[in-house]
Amino acid sequence: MSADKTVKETKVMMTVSLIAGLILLAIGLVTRQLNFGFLSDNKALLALSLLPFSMAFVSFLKLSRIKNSPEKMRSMLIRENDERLVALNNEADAKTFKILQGTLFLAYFGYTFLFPQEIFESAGWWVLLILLLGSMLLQGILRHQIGKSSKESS
Amino acid sequence: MKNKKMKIARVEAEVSQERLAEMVGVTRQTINLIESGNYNPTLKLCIEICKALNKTLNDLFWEE
Repeated sequence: MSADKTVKETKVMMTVSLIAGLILLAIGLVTRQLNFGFLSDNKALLALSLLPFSMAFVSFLKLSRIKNSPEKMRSMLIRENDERLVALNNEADAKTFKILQGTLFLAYFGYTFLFPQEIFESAGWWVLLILLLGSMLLQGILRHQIGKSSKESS
Repeated sequence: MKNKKMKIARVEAEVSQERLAEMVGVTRQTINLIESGNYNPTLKLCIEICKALNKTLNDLFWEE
């Protein structure tokens, strides 16, 4: 990955996070002022806006570090592109995904057996089911797409 | 198994692990792990290393 590409990606990340944070903050402030009934607690949106703001801040720090020190930027790029480290990251990501999927599976079954009256009724049960099925489907779709793109590039 | 051929070629070319790592775009630790036989590089990286040290794949990575 070239330095320009990294800078561009970081800028996009910062802008998107900033916009998302501002939108959440604005909606939170407006709903708080007008006291809408559809949100049980308007403070939740204000709190949620902190997440994209902190992501934007991290991107800003990364950008300023890249601009201030080209030497550090080069070593950072090498660390990001080193095939061994990339493979390690991918393995960690895959294991994390498996653990999350397992947790989702246990949560769904636990919820279904502990609260049978909520099957097909509560939003929580549907959310768990959709997340579980989504994670399984998405895994297959992504595997298919990655396989297809690697065939095309070869 | 240690990759002595690569280490010898690197030393003969008077290139440090850090310099070779810079030339092929990986960290010094990766070069060290390849030389000590604790990491199997991809063919792409093997070719990069061969080009950097002016050797062939046979010279550096073929085991008799």
